[in-house]
Amino acid sequence: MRPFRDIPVERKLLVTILATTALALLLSGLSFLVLDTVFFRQQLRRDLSAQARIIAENSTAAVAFDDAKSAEETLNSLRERPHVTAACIYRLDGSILASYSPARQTCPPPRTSGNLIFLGGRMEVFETIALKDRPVGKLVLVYDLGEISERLRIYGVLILAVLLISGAIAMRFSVRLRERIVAPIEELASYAAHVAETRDYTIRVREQSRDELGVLVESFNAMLFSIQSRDDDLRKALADREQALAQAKNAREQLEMITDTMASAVTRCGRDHRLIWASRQYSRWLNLPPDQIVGQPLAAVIGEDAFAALRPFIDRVLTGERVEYEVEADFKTIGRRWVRGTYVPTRRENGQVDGWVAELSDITALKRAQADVVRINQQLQRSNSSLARSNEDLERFAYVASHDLQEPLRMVTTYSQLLIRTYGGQLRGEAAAFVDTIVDGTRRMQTLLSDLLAYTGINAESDQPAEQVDLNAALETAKRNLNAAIAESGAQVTSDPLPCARGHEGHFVSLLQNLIGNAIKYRSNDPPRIHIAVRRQGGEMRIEVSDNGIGIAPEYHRQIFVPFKRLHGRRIPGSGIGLAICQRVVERYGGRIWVESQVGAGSKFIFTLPEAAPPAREVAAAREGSNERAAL
Amino acid sequence: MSAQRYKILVVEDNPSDVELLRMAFKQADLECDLTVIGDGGDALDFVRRQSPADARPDLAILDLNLPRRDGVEVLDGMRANPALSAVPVAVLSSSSLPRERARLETLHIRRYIQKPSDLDGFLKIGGEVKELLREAK
Repeated sequence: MRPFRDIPVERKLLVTILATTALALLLSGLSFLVLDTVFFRQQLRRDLSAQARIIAENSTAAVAFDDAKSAEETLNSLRERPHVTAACIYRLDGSILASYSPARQTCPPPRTSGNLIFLGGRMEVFETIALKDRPVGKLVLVYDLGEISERLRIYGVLILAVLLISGAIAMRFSVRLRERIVAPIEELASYAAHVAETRDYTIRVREQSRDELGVLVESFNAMLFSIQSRDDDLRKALADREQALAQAKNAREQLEMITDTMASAVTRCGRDHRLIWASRQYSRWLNLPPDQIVGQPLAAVIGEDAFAALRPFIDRVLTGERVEYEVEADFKTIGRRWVRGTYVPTRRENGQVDGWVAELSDITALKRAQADVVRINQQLQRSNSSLARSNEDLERFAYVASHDLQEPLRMVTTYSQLLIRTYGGQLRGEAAAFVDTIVDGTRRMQTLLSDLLAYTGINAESDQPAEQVDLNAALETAKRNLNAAIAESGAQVTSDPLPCARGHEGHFVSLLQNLIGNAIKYRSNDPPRIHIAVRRQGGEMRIEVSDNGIGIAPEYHRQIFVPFKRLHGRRIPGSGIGLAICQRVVERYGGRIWVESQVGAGSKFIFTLPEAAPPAREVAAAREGSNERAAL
Repeated sequence: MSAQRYKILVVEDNPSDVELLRMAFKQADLECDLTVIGDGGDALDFVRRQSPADARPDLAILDLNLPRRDGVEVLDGMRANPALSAVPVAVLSSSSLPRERARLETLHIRRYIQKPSDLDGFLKIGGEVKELLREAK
């Protein structure tokens, strides 16, 4: 059986009501019964005593006269009392004078002491019959107490009936109570269960009364409301937190993604020189797992030596300065390395420096490569300068040789001529021809040597300062030098106004002279028409020397600039050095030279020169007249 | 023709050229006495030792390329010696180097004669020298 506190409220209410009612009824019934019994007995005693006294007085005469008949008549008056079951009048000697016994019951013997006793189910009343205070006999009445039991029975039935009726009424009450109290509570309970189950805090319980239950419902609703709002807050806070967490995760992933793709390692350190964060690159570089880096003192991670090397930069960044450095240090795990680092101070909201972020690159290989490059560069420079020296030596040698060889050659030439002059007449046939061959050879050799001298001289004379050269004047000189050839061939040489150029005038004279000379030398059957045009483009001057000569097949366009390379035999005189000299001059002054030509279509030799600082416009204008005159 | 005999100092290390000079003078009918010194060092000694009492040469013909001391030093020696400072100087050189020519321009010599590369050219030097001597008179 369940304990009381566990049974449903409805039943509790019912039990309480019923128990209370029943107990009240029982208690009041019982007390009424007891009181009634007590009062009834007392009244019965008084009643019977009074009756006994009346009968005793009424029977005095009969006793005194021993008149049984009248005594009996007196006793018969007891018929009014159905519960008197026996009555006797005793004489003094104890014999019965008269008796009354409707229930054939014998009278008990008279007692000497007391006048009333309860005995079993009956009450016996004794009364002395006296005549002038002299006892003459005794009266005994027996009263059946069955009346009392009957009364008790009637009362019991009554109480039972009342109990049943009140129970029924209590039942009804409890049903009403259930409707009024339990049902709302149950409704509340079901709502609570629903809320607990579904966590739907938006529902509200309908308010049915203004009593405590109403207050309860109201409180419940208020509680639901506050739970709902708190739940909403919580949910929002949770969502915010989740979002913040997601953002943080995202940011972290992004940071890692970025730092992972970076070639350099990134770390963050605090004022206490402990590593707060390090990119994977850093741990990979130091060959240490991240848990031996993050949270550790920098000195422990990279070693005291490396820390000491970095310490000046750390001290500087902690003053709030951005620091960039390159340093070689001995790292605990990876040995001597060159590191290029950038330290950027990190600050709290109040602006106080609380650490730094470092971006680090291992530039050991770079440094090694740089050292290699420097070394190789030095080697290159050495070999370059030795090459330049040997080239210079070679040129100087060629220059000096071609110059000094002229001296003995001059002797051979001069004395050969002297031989012919002096003994020419005495030489016979072949001997004279031999000497002529010697003279002819020495002449050719002289030409070769002087060409070679001119060619090597272009660079050999580099110690003379360059000057502003008016190319119009150089052209005039060149034409003057070519006077004979121009006159002989009937050539016409025309020119645009020419600019100025920086260099040595002799070189430009030689350049123009060679180009014009070639145009005359390699002329077609028509008289040579030579024009010098000037164009400016892209910061350089382009000077074009065009002719109407025999032209040059494209396959020779390069070859012709090689020293002593000739396309023609002795039929056309020349040493083959002219265009090589032209190329040398142009290249010496930072230009290029090439030819555009087809066989039979004339040639156009083009050379470029860097634009000279001030274009000599006035000079050019002054020259214009003379240029026209120059056309022969 | 002319009874005048010129005194000419020739500083030239190449005897063949000296011989050609003699031939050229002869061809130009130039009566002259040649003092020939074939060594730069000797020439420098000579010009330093010259005193006003000695016979002054009418012309000095200097080669520039000389053993031991070069022609310019000899020229400087002459200019430094009052006995010779007024003597006109012709430089006879085979050098066609522009550098040398540039140097000569600063020396204020009377004539620069490049040694001709053929006989006829060389023989013309005789006339040229004769002209110089006449100018100097």
